[in-house]
Amino acid sequence: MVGIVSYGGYIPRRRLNRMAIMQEMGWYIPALMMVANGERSMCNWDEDSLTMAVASARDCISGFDKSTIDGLFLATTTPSFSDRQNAGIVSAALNLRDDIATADVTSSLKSATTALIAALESLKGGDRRTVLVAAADHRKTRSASFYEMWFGDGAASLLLGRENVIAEYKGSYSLSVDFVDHYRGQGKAFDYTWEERWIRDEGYAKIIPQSINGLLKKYGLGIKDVSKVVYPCFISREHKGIAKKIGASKEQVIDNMHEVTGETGAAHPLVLLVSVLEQAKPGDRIVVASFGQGSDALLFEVTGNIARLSARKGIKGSLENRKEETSYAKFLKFNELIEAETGIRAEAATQTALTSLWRNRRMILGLVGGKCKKCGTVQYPKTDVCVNPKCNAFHAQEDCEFSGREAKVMSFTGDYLAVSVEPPAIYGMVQFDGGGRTLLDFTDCDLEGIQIGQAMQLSFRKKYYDKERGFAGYFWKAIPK
Amino acid sequence: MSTGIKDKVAIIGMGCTKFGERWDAGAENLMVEAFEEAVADAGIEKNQIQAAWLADCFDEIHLGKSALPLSLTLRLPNIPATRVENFCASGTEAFRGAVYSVASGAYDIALALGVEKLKDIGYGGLPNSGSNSGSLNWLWMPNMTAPGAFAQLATAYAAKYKYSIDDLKRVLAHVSVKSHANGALNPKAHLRTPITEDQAISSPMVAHPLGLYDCCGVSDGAAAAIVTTPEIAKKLGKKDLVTVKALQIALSNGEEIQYNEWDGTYFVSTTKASTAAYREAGIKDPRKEISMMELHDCFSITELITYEDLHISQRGGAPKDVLDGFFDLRGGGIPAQVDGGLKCFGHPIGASGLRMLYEMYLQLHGKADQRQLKDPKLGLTHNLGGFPFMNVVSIAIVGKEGV
Amino acid sequence: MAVYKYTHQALGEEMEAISGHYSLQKEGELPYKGRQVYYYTGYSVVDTSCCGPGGCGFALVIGYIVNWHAGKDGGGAYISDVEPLSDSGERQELTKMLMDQTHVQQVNFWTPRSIA
Repeated sequence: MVGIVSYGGYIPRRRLNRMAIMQEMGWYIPALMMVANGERSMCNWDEDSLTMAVASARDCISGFDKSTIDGLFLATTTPSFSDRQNAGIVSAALNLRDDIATADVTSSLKSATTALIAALESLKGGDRRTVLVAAADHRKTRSASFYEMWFGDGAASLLLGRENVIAEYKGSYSLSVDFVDHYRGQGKAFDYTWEERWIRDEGYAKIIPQSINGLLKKYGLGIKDVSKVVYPCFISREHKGIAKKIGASKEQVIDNMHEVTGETGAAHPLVLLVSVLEQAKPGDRIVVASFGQGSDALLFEVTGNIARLSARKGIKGSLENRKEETSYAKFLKFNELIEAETGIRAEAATQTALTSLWRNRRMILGLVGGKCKKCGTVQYPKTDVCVNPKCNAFHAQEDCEFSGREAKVMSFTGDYLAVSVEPPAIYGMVQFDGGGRTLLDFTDCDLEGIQIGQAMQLSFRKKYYDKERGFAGYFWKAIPK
Repeated sequence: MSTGIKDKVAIIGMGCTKFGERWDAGAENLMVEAFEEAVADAGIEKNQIQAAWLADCFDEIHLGKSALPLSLTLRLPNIPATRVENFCASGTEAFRGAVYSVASGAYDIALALGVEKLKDIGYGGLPNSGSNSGSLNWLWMPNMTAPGAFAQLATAYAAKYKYSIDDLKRVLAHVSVKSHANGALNPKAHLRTPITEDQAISSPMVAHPLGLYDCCGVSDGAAAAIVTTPEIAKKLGKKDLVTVKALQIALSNGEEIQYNEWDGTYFVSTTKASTAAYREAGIKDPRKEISMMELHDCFSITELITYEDLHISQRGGAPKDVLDGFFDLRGGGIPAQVDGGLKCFGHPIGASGLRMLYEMYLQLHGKADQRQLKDPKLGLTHNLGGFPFMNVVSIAIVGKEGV
Repeated sequence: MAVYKYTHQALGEEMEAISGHYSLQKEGELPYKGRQVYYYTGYSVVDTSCCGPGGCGFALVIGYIVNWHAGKDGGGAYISDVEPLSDSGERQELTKMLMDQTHVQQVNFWTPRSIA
């Protein structure tokens, strides 16, 4: 049996109240009011598709033996690099084996379902044990556009395999048509979009039903044989219209999450699928479909194993970890839609020594430290000489992964002088359970909420962006547990 | 068996520029200003100097690398010249090089000169090195500044010794009040404004709980010392010699930041360097024997904790000494920051260690005017570069010959 | 907390430190728990610190007013009897109130010298 073994989700903690956009930009585009209900998720300034993909993947594989992961697909339309495999960065952050197959699946909002089909099909005949699919998107939009209202940031991941399957893969149906509702040309920051009414009537309303109906027909099922159907469509009214067209009842369809996150791009079909899996019962048949120059539809049947899957944050847990953002200016600044003064001090050199990054890839991307084989001291980073003054053994350390460890705050501060996108820069010394300590930036927290002794966890984040060369540097930060 | 440096070298001349925002002067002008005073004070010809050491920290923004700027600027007669850099201990390192060179017998007379020109970068503060701070550091070290790092020292110290932050702020305020009072008496100091404890307490936070008066600034300046052996000094007609009693440097090895032992309330390096310095100088009870100090008060909390790391105050007991006035100019204890310290005299990194020695030298010769202490015998200087959890510390003790 | 004599500071003067300067601009009173709390607002400029530029608007809370302008010191500055705020809950509440009402980014609390 081939299918889903585990799932994970990630929605950034910050939610921009859409009325904040309305308040600032309503004078300019009054019609925005139409979609100004609820809130949209927004990346923190140190988050992007890669960091969200890593967060959802970590959630997904928690409790699993990651040495069985033989492949990783990353689906996104907003990769950090055009030529440097982004999936490889995710793999390094997860500290997966080097001898696995990785691929970016990109350039379409249906990338995630395409990756999912490819991964599942590859498990059928081959010798792969498990394959991870991570999907994330962080799309930039013009200020005061409807898309700014509709879009949100988020990620979801699925671990696929042949054992302990919680949802069996029954099959898929794909449509590939060059229906250009929007496109993002090379080197362009924003989508160019055609008339909404056309997108709605000729795009969503036709292509998704065609895909779902094609799937059901292929496997000899009717819509009544299906428990849940999930598909994206940011136009809420049309989302309901599609349900009608395929003959699905209200109970069979889950909503498009406009109220709580907005549409999370390529990740959205998986975000919706994870939301359904979080409530699924054995025997449920689930159809997931995507939309993007065609559509993929997949059919899953939930098994009894679902009850045995250990609790994870998922989409539900991510949604609960929420901080309302009422400052639209912050959203603009985080997304670099306004050019704010940074001062001459911020003009410092930002080059990355790729040789150094390669030598220290496990330390930096995987947060791998060392454990001394002579004295047992756990330490970060791993160096040639043990830090224990009573030991100081040379070349005696083995790899020791820190990213999954809990840490306690030993000291911290809020620094108003450090160059920061959102002052104060909060950082401090943390002490890991099981040994080791280090200094880390803190993120996703408020200064007032941090205390000595507080439990923290690690989060993979963007550490810097080298504008001149277009290089995003990643490292780990501490966030409250 | 090593015998240390005690009384093997004498300082025969010193010079120090006025510190401040020296828009009028480049690093080269500052070097000349300090050198002219030192060489006149020593009463020698420039060509009698046989070797030279130059300290500057941010060479990339003013002098550039190597000791060539010193040799070129002073037009030294092709003698050996060496540039040293060890964060805020750079000035003391230059002094150490010069002192050891004459102690070894390799040279008769040597020069140590420290300079820093920081006001040529277009913004306040020290230069931000970014990825030039080390290719691996750049990939993982947090985005931090010194006030943030030292603020953590203050909160950890208060927690350990059960001082409320309010009380600690009062103590830190007094540390600053004392330095400002001293700086006001010093014509070469960058800032000469006395303050009250309430004014210090009322200043806003830079990094909680460190306020505006708890943080040092940036200054331009240079200082220089000319050293020789006591024998040569006497042949040159020098009397009442000021000799070097101890020179110690200690550096972190990563234990503070990586090993789960250090509790974040003191400086490991200072504790070790001071013990070694007292041993070298033959000092048994520093609280009784040291006459005066110039400490690295980059932050008020650094100065407070350094009193303890120097084994002058008991652990947790420095606040009481501070409030008792033990470190005040006329407090009857050991006056500290006699010239105003980093927070008033100023802090051109490469010059700071030598500037501290300059004040000790003036005091020992009875030339400190309004700040003059009664019959000082031993003076201690201390520099700390880096962060509480990873630093370079230097300690120098100088005093009257025979003490 | 007990009642202390507080000597008022001059308004509008630049207090110079080596790392920057600050200035108390205005005095204010805030009704709180049936009493009047006395505070200053001002600004700081951190433009010469060793570690980069900064600054903020801030409020300095002196305490509950017990006896306003009860006397003058030798230099002619007013002295008031005040009761400083030491309770962390009250401080948090006042911090929020002052941040909302005066748009400062930082609220600090004056305390007298109590250890010796």
